[in-house]
Amino acid sequence: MTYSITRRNVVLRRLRSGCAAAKRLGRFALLRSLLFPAIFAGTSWVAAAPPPRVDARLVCEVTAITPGEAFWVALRLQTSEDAHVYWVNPGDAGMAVSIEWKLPARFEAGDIVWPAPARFSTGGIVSFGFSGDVWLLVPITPPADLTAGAPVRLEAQAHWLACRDVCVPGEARISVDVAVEPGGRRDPEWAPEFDQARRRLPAAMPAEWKARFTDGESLTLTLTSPSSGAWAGAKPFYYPFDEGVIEASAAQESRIIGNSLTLTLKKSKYRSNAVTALDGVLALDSSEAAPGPLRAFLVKPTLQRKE
Amino acid sequence: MLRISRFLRLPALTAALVLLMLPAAPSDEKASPGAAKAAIGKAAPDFALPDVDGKTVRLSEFKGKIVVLEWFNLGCPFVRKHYDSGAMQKLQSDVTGQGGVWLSICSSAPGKQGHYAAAEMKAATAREKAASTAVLLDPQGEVGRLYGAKTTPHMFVIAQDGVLVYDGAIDNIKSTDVADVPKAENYVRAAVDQTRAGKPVAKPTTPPYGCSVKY
Repeated sequence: MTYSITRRNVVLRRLRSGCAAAKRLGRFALLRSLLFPAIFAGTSWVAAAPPPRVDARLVCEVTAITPGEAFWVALRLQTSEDAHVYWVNPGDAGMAVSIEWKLPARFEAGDIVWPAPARFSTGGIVSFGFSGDVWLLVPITPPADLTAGAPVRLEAQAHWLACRDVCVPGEARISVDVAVEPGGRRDPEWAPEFDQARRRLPAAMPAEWKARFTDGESLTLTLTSPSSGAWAGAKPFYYPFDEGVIEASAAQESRIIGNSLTLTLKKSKYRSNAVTALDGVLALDSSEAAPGPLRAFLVKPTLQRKE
Repeated sequence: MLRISRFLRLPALTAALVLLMLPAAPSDEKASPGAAKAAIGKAAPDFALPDVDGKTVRLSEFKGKIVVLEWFNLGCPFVRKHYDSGAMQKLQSDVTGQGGVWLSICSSAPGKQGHYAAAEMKAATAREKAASTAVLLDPQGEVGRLYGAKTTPHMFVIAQDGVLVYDGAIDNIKSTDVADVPKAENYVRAAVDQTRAGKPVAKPTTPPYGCSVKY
């Protein structure tokens, strides 16, 4: 958790007007695990370690919103030690974090803008996700004719699966109240966290790179840059956005030939139809555990048909 | 050949004991080059595992019958969805009631979630009112790896002629929510029905979803 800034007295500082007044209707999502005593009773694996736990809240980036102007809200998930939650493609097991929004009329929420994931291996089965202090950013656009005055409440139902050696599903109904008034600005209290969260997002692929892939026995992804230096010291790993395209648990063989980096990706055996798109995140500094890769790029390779 | 094939010649109780006592070997050592892994359209690889009474159950005993293999872990929330709703038990009794065989296999390693010693597993599956033909213990994970079981649940269907005809998810709604069970398309029920009717399975593979198998 090198990127987290822990705020232990956060609840005491919550009671302010404007966007930062996060209200939490559901705190720790232990409820469902407590409803399943049978899971833990009578088994020989009962250990000292408590089940994985996740604390969820919504954090708004600005102190007040301006009608018609998009702003950012984060779903912040703080996992207990060693537990992880899942990326949009969870890999060979697991389930992605999801958010159901309940917003005032004509407010629109975008999709989660996913940070670059890390890999988690349990018993040789690899999944993609995040651990520690996880910030998932979502853009929200209020209607242009919104009138200044009473604050609005942004409400969401967040769902996740948290796994360590055991998995516990969690959900929380969380909300944040946002002032509607001119002169809204970034909330200084959370600005460093939002900056840090943005540094975790994959960057746009440099314009001078070219990305293409072929679909055959396996998938090969080739990136070409004007200089071979782009791949120096890289330990690449490719995370496709779509589930069930590659075997997440398979090693990805990489080769650097001239200015090109080629990754061979094992196709999922559950994939019966042709792969026509392979958008994803290329991590050049990859590791199997958090913190995730920092040199990560959004890649939309074009399909190259074989001659 | 796989190490387990040697157990075929051993008395059942010894086999169970040896399986429980074998030290964990790195996974790459387990996939011996000669072992034919499970593949759709090919003969399902034979195996022998102890059941909860210590009796060795062998896949090849069931030739001529439709066999469903269910990888499970009673602590996994995705498995809980199907047991708490009663849907898994219903499917088990429907399959066995029509002359099929249902083998529930637990590949959780000792100390990992879902692992039970034989007697505890017997009690736990009885509490769940599981209607499997047999509940099999695979604590070394060898049969799980032979079949490429990745998640719990992860389901396989073997036709009467011993050919693997389905490998994948239990249904098409990836969630832990019991309310989704009645809305879902159950791939295993469809695969069993189609096989019984002598038809090819319309969806022979689907991506399995769930917790990782706790090898």
